[in-house]
Parts: sequence; structure tokens; C-alpha cells
Amino acid sequence: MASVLLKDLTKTFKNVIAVNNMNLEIKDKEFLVLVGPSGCGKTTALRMVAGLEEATSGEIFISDRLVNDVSPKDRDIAMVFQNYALYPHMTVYDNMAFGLKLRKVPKDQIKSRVQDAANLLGLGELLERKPKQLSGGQRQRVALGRAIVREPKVFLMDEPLSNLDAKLRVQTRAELIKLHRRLGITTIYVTHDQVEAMTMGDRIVVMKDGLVQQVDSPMGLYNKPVNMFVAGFIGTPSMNFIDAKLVKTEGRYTVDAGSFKVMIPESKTGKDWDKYDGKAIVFGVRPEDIFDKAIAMVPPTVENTITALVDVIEPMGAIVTAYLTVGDHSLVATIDAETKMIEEKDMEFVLDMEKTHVFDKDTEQAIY
Amino acid sequence: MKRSTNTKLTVVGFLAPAGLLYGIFFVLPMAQAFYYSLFRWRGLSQNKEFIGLQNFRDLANDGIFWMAMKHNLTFMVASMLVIIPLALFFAYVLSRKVPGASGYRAVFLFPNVISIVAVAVLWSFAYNMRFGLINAFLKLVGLERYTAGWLGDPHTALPAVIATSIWYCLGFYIVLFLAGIQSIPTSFYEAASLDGATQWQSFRHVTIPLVWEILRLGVVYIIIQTMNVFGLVWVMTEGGPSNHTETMLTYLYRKAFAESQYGYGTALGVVVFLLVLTITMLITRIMKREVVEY
Repeated sequence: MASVLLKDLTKTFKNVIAVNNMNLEIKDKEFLVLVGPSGCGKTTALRMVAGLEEATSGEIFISDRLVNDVSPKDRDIAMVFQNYALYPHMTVYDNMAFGLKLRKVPKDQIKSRVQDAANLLGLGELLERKPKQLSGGQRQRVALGRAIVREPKVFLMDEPLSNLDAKLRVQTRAELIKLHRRLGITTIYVTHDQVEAMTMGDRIVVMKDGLVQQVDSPMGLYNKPVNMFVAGFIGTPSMNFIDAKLVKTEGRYTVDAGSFKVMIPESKTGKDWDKYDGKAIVFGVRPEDIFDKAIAMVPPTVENTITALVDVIEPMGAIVTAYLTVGDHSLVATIDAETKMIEEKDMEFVLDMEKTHVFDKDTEQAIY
Repeated sequence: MKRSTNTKLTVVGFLAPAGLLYGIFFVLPMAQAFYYSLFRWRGLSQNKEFIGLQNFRDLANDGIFWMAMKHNLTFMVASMLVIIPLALFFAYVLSRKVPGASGYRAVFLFPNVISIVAVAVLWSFAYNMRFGLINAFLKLVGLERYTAGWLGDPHTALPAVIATSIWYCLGFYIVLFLAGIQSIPTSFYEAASLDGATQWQSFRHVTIPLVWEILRLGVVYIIIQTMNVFGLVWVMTEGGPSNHTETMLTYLYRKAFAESQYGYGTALGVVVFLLVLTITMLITRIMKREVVEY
């Protein structure tokens, strides 16, 4: 069993609260992703689990053992750094074997473990090379190999793909997922890239300003964001946010944005919605939930159709990114490439109202 | 082809002024020194008697010269054995963000900013047998039996001068090594920590290999400094008592300027130059390692 429990974990640097009262449980064998913008506290949280930063308050448990006062080498964890931190004066073999040598593992065992990890990661031919003789992707695999040979209880990964080019990043992402499935080691992965988070994590922790915003599965975050930050952070392109008013008429709720009006499906509303009647709200719709009426997947009705001016069209291959203007509001839509949109022309668009969101304007919390 | 010639001419043009200065102030005097070493010459007159390599033969049979060389080599070895580990240790400690580190740095470097003559005079007072600080302190702590003549005692004079030299130079090497250590990314130490390295193992397996080039430079500096030591020794002892602190350059000074044997002194200078060159090349070769890039 290799679960990790963070209890009321806080880290303060002088007057700055980097991690604020974090409570999180990572299950055995889980691939958990910490995601958020720069400075949100995700790396600090990871470093506290590693023992590289001392917690200001709170507790950290690894496999039910309190490790706050346990040194990094005794926590049975392994870490992959953003810049890999490969020892430049050692060969690939020595880099991978270093930790085992320090632990006085017998030479034949070291050789066997290093060889196994090298074979798993395709490093067999590179064992005598030095890091400067390797490409970025190869260095990254060596850093992984160094972690794997330790046979730790928990892997910690601090943005390991951020130094790779886009194509290699996509490739390595898939390899990491396969590796995790094969090894089954509990992993805490830090990234600022929401695409990485969505594609890799069993669960994702979205952080902002030291606070945990939401912990959920990728689709949970995508479909039911708890606030505007999560809604805007997850998904590419970002969700469109429109200031509007919520008006209740004959039991149905209308989003009145001034330049357009759409109606919320009955299935989405609840008792809590009454207090927002007549109040200012923020209406959220993802670009992929806006359709060209002519080729819409969703049946167009008067409740879900808007007219917008097409400003700019960006062909992206299978889809087209369209920049729209509706009165004072700007929207981004990703439309199927079959569309016959023309720039600087008014067109009708259909919103998939089942997938839209409404947020409290003051608290930015989602209204469900 | 034309472009390549133009480029070469441009390069030569930029290098020429520096090359000219180097030639005038370094190469020419060196060549002159080699030239004068082949003469018997009192320095003040135009008369020079060509004697070929006789000066070098005389040096080879000069017991004081060999003693002086031995003293320089002692200086060199003692300085290396004390300065390198001590400076590395203090630099490593200072690099670990000890409270007041910048204050300590200033304290360590302070001796280096004082004139070598002032240092020599101050320490001469401290070593004074009758009223010096060192003997007074030893008496105070009940170690009177360790009091000595220091600079006046043939057995203690050289160690005393070497100790002063080490005190003077240590700060420079601490700062030199500290610069090297601080350029090592913290993530290497963090990775080593996670790999299970103790502080000593981190120092041995991460710090030392990654500052090796700076270490090598430090060793070369020590060789040059100790083989050319003059000012400190001359002010403190003038090479005495009875040549027991004589170094090659104090002997050169005495021969050339006190005894007006310029040819002989110059020959000694040539030998010192060749010796320092040989030792530094040897050490550089022995300590050579693949350049580490990170």
C-alpha cells in the first residue's frame, strides 16, 4: 500500500502563503495530477511530500507513516525534476546506479536493476554516455530510469515534460501513462498544462494561489467545474464567459446577455436558482458547444440560437476556430470544418444548452 | 577566399595591440632575462662577460639555492595541503546559506585586501618572542612550553612564515571556490538527497567533481604564489635566520641587488620560471578531467 495523505498542509515563505491548508488523499497506485498556473503552490506541495521543503504546519503521511520529520532519502520516494537534475559528470549507468550504490545494494543487483530499467525505457545503448551527449527526450528517460531503479513507493514528477518540444511531449505523455499502468506505482505529477493534466490523471487537483479549487476526475472537472477559475482553466480554447442577468419566467430561467437571450433547460435548474432571479450572473459556454446552425449536432430552437458576427476564422484542419461578436460580447467557437462560415458576415449559431454553465457573479461559484 | 583573408586580417588587427603590449612587457623581458643569464654582469656597468651556461652550473652547485628551492616546495605543499581542504570546507559551508554568510565572507576576505607588507609587519610583531601576541596567548592558556623564538628560531621560522601566508591567502581561495560551488544548481543536491546521499557524500560525489576545474585553477594559483613568494618572507625574516627561510626569489634579490650579481640572479630567475612552468604543466595534466557541462 502506498497512499499519500496531506492533512491541513500549509507552507509559508515570509509573508506569502504558498500552500494554504491543503487536504488531499492520494490512493495507492493512483496517478494524481496537481495543475494550476505558475505560483499556485503545486510544486511547493510536491516538494513538501518529497521532504525538500519543510511544512510550516500540517501533516504528511506516506503509507500511513507520518513523514514530516523523515529525511527525503528515508521516505521511499523518487522524484523526476523539471530540469532532470542528471549528474553531468556521471554516465547514464552511474546516474541510475548512484542511489543504489549509496544504499549499498550489491553490485550484481545494481547491474540487473539498471539493465531492466534501461531496457524498459529504451536506454540500453546509451548507458555509457554522459548527459550532455543525450537529447532532451533521452535525458528525460534517464531521469525516469533513475527513479524507477529505486523501486519507490511513490513517484513525484515536477513538470517533467516542460523542457521537451511539443511533438515529443505528446509522445512521452503516452509513454508515461503506459509506464504507470505497467509499474502501478502511486504517482503525483505536477504540471501547468491542462492538456497534460486531462490526458494523464486519474484525478486532477486544480490549484490557485495556494488553495485547492477542485479535486475530481478529468471529465468531472470538465463537465462540472465548481467555479469560474476551474471552468476557464480546463479546456482549450478556454470557456467563454459572458456577463448576463438570470430571469425567471413561467418557471423557466432565461440568460439575458443584452445582445442575446438563451434559455436554461429545466433539467439543469434547481431550488437554489430562485435566489438568482433578476440577479447578475456569468454565463459560461465552451467553444466546442457552439455550433453552426446549418450543421449543428444539437436541434436549433429559439431557446438556444444566437446571431453573431463572424470576425475571424482560423482553419485548424478538422475544425475551425471562429472569433465571434454578439453585441458587446466576444465569443470563441470551434466549429466543424464543414462549415460555410464567411468572415464579416452575420450567422446563426446554436448553443448546446445542456452543457452550458452559470456562475454567481460575486463568488464566481458555479450554480447547479 | 578573399573573405577569409579579410577576416584573418581583421582578427590580426584586433589582436595586434594586445599582442604588442604582451610582447613588449612580457615576451621581451623574458627573452632579455634568458640573454642576461648567459653573462657575468654587475648590472651598473655596460661591461658584460659572456660565460655561456656557467651561471646555471654554479646554481647547480649552490647549496643555498637548493635549500631555497626546498623551502619553496615546502611552502607549496604545505599551502596546498592546508588551503585547498580548508577553503573548500568553508566555501561549502558558506554556500549552504548559513546565517550571516555575507559577514563571514567579508571576514575571510579581509586579510587579502591588506597590503602584504602590512601583514608581514603585523605578524612579525605577533611572533615577537618577548612581547608578541602568540607567546603571550600561549602563556595565558598554560601552554608556556610551546612558546618559541618563532621568526628568530631556525626550527620554527619557516612554519611561522608559511602559517602567515596561509592566513593571508585563505580568504581568496574561499571566495574562488564559493563562486564555483554556487554555480552548481541546487537540484543536483536535491537529487542526491533523494538518492540517499549524506552531506559528506553530496560533497564528495557532487560538489568536488563539479568544481574540479576551479580546484585545478586554485592549485595552479597556489603553485605560482608559493614558488614566487618574496614580499612576506623578505619583510618578516629576509630569508633568515641563517637562510632557514630563504626562498628562491629572496635569494635572487640578494644575489642581484645586494651582491650585484645580475647575471647569476637572472639565471636564478630563469630557473624559477622553468620550474614553475614545469610544475604547473604537470599538475594541470595530472588533474585534467573531462569538462563538465550543465
